[in-house]
Amino acid sequence: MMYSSTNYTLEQRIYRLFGAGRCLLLFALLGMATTVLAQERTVSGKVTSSESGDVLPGVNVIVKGTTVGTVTNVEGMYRLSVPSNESVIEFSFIGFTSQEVTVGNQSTVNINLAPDVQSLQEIVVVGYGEQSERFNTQQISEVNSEEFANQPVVNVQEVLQGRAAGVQVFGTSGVLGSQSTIRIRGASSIGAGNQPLYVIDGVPLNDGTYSNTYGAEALNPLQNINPNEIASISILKDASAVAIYGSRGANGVVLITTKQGKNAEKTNINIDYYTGVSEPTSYFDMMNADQFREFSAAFMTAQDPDNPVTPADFPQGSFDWPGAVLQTGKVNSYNLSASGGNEKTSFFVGGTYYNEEAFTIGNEIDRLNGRFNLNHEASDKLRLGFNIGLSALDNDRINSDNSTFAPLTSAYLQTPYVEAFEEDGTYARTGFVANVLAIEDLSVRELISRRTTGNIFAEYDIFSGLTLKTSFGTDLVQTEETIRDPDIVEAGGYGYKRIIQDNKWLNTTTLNYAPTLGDRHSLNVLLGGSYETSTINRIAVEGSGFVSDQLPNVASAATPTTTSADAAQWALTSQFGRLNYRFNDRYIFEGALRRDGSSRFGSDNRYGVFWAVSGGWLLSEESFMQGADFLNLLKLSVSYGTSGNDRIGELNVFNIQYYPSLGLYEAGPLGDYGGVPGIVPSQAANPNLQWEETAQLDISVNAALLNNRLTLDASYYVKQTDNLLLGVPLPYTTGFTDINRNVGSLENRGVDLLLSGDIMQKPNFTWNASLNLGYLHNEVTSLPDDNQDDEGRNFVTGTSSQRAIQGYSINNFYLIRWKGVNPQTGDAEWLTKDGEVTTNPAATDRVIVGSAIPNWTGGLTNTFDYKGLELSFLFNFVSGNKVFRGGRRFTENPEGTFNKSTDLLDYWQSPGDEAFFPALGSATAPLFDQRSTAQLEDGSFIRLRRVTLGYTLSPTLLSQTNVLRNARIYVSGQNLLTFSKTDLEPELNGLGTDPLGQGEGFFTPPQARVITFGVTLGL
Amino acid sequence: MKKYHILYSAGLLAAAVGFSSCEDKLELQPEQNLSSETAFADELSAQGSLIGVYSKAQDLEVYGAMPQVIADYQSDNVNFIGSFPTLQEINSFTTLADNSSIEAIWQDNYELILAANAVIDAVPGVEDPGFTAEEKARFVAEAKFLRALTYFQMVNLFAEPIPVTDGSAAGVPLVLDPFEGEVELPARATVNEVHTQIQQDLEEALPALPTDATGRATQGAVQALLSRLHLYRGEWQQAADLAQSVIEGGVYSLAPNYSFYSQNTTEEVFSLQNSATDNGRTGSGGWASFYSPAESGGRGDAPFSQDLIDAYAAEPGDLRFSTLIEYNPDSSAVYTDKFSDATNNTDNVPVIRITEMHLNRAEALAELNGVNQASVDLINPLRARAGLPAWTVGQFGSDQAFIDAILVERRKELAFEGHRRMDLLRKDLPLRSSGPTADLAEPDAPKVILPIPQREIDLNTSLVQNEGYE
Repeated sequence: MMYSSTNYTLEQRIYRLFGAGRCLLLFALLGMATTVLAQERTVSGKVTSSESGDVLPGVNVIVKGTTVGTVTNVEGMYRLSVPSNESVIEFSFIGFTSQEVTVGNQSTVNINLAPDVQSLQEIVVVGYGEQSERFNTQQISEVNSEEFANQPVVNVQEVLQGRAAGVQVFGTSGVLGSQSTIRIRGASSIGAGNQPLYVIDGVPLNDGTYSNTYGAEALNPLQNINPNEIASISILKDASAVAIYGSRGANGVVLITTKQGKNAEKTNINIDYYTGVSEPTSYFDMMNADQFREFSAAFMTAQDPDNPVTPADFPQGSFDWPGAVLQTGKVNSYNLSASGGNEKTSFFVGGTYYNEEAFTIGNEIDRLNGRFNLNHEASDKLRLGFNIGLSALDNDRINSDNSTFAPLTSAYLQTPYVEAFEEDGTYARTGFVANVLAIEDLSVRELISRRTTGNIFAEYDIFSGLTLKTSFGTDLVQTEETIRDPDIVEAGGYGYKRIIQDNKWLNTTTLNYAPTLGDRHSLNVLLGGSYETSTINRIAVEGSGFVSDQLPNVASAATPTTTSADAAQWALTSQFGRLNYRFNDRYIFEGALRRDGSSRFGSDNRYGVFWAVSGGWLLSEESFMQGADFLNLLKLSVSYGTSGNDRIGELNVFNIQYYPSLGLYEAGPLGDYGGVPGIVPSQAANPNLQWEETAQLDISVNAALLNNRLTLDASYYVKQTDNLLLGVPLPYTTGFTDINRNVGSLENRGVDLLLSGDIMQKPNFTWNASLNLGYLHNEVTSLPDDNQDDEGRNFVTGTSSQRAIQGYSINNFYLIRWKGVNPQTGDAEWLTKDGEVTTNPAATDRVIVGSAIPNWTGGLTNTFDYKGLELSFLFNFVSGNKVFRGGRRFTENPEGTFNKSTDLLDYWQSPGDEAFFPALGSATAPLFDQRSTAQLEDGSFIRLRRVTLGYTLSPTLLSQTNVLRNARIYVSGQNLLTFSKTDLEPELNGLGTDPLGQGEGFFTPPQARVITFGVTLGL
Repeated sequence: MKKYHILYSAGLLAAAVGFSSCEDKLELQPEQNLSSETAFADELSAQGSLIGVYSKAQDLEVYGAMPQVIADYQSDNVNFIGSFPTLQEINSFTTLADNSSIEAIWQDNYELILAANAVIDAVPGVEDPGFTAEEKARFVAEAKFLRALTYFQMVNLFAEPIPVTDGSAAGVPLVLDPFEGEVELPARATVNEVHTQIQQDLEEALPALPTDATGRATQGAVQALLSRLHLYRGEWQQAADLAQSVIEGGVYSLAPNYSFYSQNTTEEVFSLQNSATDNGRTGSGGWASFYSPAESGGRGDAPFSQDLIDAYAAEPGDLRFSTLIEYNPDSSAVYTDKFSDATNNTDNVPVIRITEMHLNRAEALAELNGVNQASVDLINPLRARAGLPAWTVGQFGSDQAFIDAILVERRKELAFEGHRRMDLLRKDLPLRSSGPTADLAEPDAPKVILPIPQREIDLNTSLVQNEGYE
């Protein structure tokens, strides 16, 4: 867990959560209302915090024993009629100790309320509610907006990188809007996806595949989400936290809370602007035309001395392709928001325009976001509100990785003597490797994504402590993807358009019971139910043969090759509950239960029950610990429980269906014949198919020392996943390729650590530091025995380079070992399975050579503040993993017309040479590029993820302006420094979220190095 | 008062939970797919399931050209110059058991067989008042025809030919029931057993089929396929009689010239009807893609072999050469023009032509009676169409010379239509009689027949691999 301070104060948070209490009190008072003799007079005054001296708006001021009362206004002022001098006024405010004052003859009663030390604890967002962090037994990492405010990112997932222990985040590539891979406490699935469930203000988000792959992976389905609207992110990790999300909790849950206004607060207006430039952190060093000609001639001559080749035998052109596709990227972000409220109503309204041009040509994003959140107290018992986020995003896409239409891939591979332009300045046709300059200039590859996410809710206090809440939520995603290639790129021209709508709605109704049971007992019971359904619709058309490049739409195509519309729906009904009991503020018990019914499963296994129990013990409250003054908190908690993974049947981009258990026939072009529609079998039935189930044990210690200046959170966990969903191969004589089955199991165990401290707390100088660390060990414990390697180990093939192997991790690199160039002979040498040196290895020589999963990940944050001058930086590090750079199999291929890496110029020439590349004439030289550990690199790195230097103008100075509330200017850098064993991008994850394709890339665009300058103003 | 609130809230919650647990909301059905049950819910869906079996036959690996192209290039008709390593292996008789092209052939042919099994199994039980017993019988018969056609192709590719072991060799697994979840590991039936099943399917299908239906199974198609089966088995009388039934059936007759390809003339006894949106487009190849030169949009993988050019040249003026070829001026390679649309692969597949029945009967009668007038009369119309002089009984010096001449006619008629490999093997002749691979092309040489895919050997322990692939 992480101490957090979001941008509203603790008091306000408690107020938001328990504000109901005031009304309940009023209600109780109503019940015993008595007739009061009128001798009324008026008392007024101001309520402030005894700790900070700030005025306290929203404090309940009640004449004790009556129904008469009011609340303080924005200035903390109240005015109240009291019946007599004997009247007692009660001041109460959640988070503060209530005070009672006998009026006497005073007409002005000013009050200092003291914070209630017991309840003055951080609040943490949990599933379907909030809890005091002090008494919480769930393991939750919280990241709040200050940590990622104004960071130039498209993907909300990236802001979590290095911020939370046990949460591994891998940026897929430097392509704008590309997918991010998040693994919370490891990968717990092979066939059903490892992405967590994302929930915004109680609405679980749709995150299907909404775009085509373009040589890499489909874009991030969450790229519409605006980090500027987020107040905090809670990452639910252990079973006690995720069990309440039942069949969707196994991969962890990310709860996003958007910004809210505060009651009784004058309207604050915030303006943020930043602008920046970006460049790639690294790129391949390729040969120029002269180097290429010389090397190729020397190589060809050495290989075939009878047919010597000279550089003059090659075309004599020259063009710097990599230079032509790289540019200085630009980013601009404009954000305007307002928040505030009166006693009854609070609001947040904001809008952001974000524009980024990548460092590769042709890649640009425009994003517009708007948000309106509102809370209203309709009566003492009834509260209403809504949270609505709107967005429109226009992503001018590029291909990447395994595509000759990709700017970087083509620029690296294009023969350097091939020129981009004809003599007349028009684009040249460049053959198999397309002219990427023409593509980026003339072709259209665009994804427009519009998204409306929000909910409306009503909350009603039935009686003291019992609250009913119902909420209707919706997540409407619409994407529109356009491809249009002109004649120069695709002869005759090509057009494609696909529109996808994925529309969700849900209802969640909860009943929360939190009775007052006296000092020693505290009880909170939650009961709820929800129904959720989402329907995806896709329409695609495709055509070729255009009379002119001026005709942008498929309607103008001579031959429509695709006209398709398809749809699918899923539904989930759930009942859930949670009971939290606390005795004496020392002993905590919590139990959670959820029953899910999913349309994705056959009627035999439609329902699943998931549960968790946890216990907490605040040792620091025990009398035997009272002598330890340095210890402010020592809590031990243990949890155990289950959760599931139902994400199957939607991984296939080409066939959307959520029915993995049914025997199916498929219609369409694959089934028709001779103009008559037909159907063909497409899936084997398995009515017994059920959820993957993850059981997790967690043991955690939370400690706060030295007046809460030093905090330590440590967790040890074991996650065991059973019933792994896998397509098990069938003999073809069944008529099917495979069948979905629940087979196999895997385990993740690890340690999460968070250590943070206020190292310096001087009036003019503060220094805070926070270190998070996650250790993870992933092991596949059982797999079906259909596939066994030579050692008799069961495995599932992921890519040509990696496989999941029983007894090892799910992402093992399985490769021939590269030994090096023999300094005496100049031959390339590999190792056989037995470790013997060979110049001609075979596929049977492959062995396990490392894992794509890091053992250690973490982050270190430091913040220094000196009189408003603030320096903060975040280092993110990863260790123990390997990355496979498949593109090197092309750039290090000595043959052919693809351009080559300058590394090949370091070839063996005479005995004793320690060369990169073998002797040019060696028979092994053409084999150098074969798949082996020669392309496997150490993935460990330390990266200066973010550094910011800012200056906040002094409030006293600003108060004189009467306009500005606050003002800050800053300069910030992303990825400025990287320490790694490879010169190229160490964060390589070009296959994105593919569970069995981690840590691999082809020519994946690297992360961007960005420098931004920004200003923040508050009015 | 409190009590009411409790009741009220309990009611509300019950309503909410009740609403959210509405279980029929979970009964969602796929929209692009039919469940196995609804695939045979009524006549229309049953017809769709049958049509799907035909659609499977369009697959690249079934009758989408791959097995048929292999039949022509593994023998002496085609000089295979394609770049696919898996196809080159077959060409050079160096095939390995993990050959992915062969695995795909095995996979797709069995997918067709299992789809046909489902129709044969389920259609009789479809409850639909408008679905008559005659229609049901016809659907079952069509599925049996397609299953027989496919098993015949499989046993021809994967099993030793009749002359080598007299049909006692291992054929392919006979799977006759639909897959219903229980994974069975069938062993290979013998060639004779597979042939018996094919014969049984066809004989059962015959009475229920119409006499004429373009692109669909007919009585003529069944008789023609039976004729071919008996011919391959050396059962001459049946082969001759069945061919005669087709010829005399009155539905099919020789086309006047060679422009009948893809035209659905009376020439075609059974042809698969391809369109631009059919499997040929979605697959990675097709008849014209393999056979057309690059200038015509094809891959240019499969030009004439010199051996075939020489065969035509032996009798100059053969229109089957001169009107059905394309030259590649760059390489001077000669390509067949029987299939013209390499872009969308819309050419129909000439599975059985009436010409073959002339050839079957002529050959069978020659095997039975030696040189005979009836055979000559069957062949002469083909020769006349090819612009060649008529035969006379007297010009043949021996019975064997007569049979050989009929086989040469057969080769020149049916080149590039997938017949050549079996026409040699069933006669115990080597696939290639000259060239460096001739030794490897003997009928009993190990790699003349294809390997059982390694994946299947691994998954099904009952399967025994062919010699030379272990």
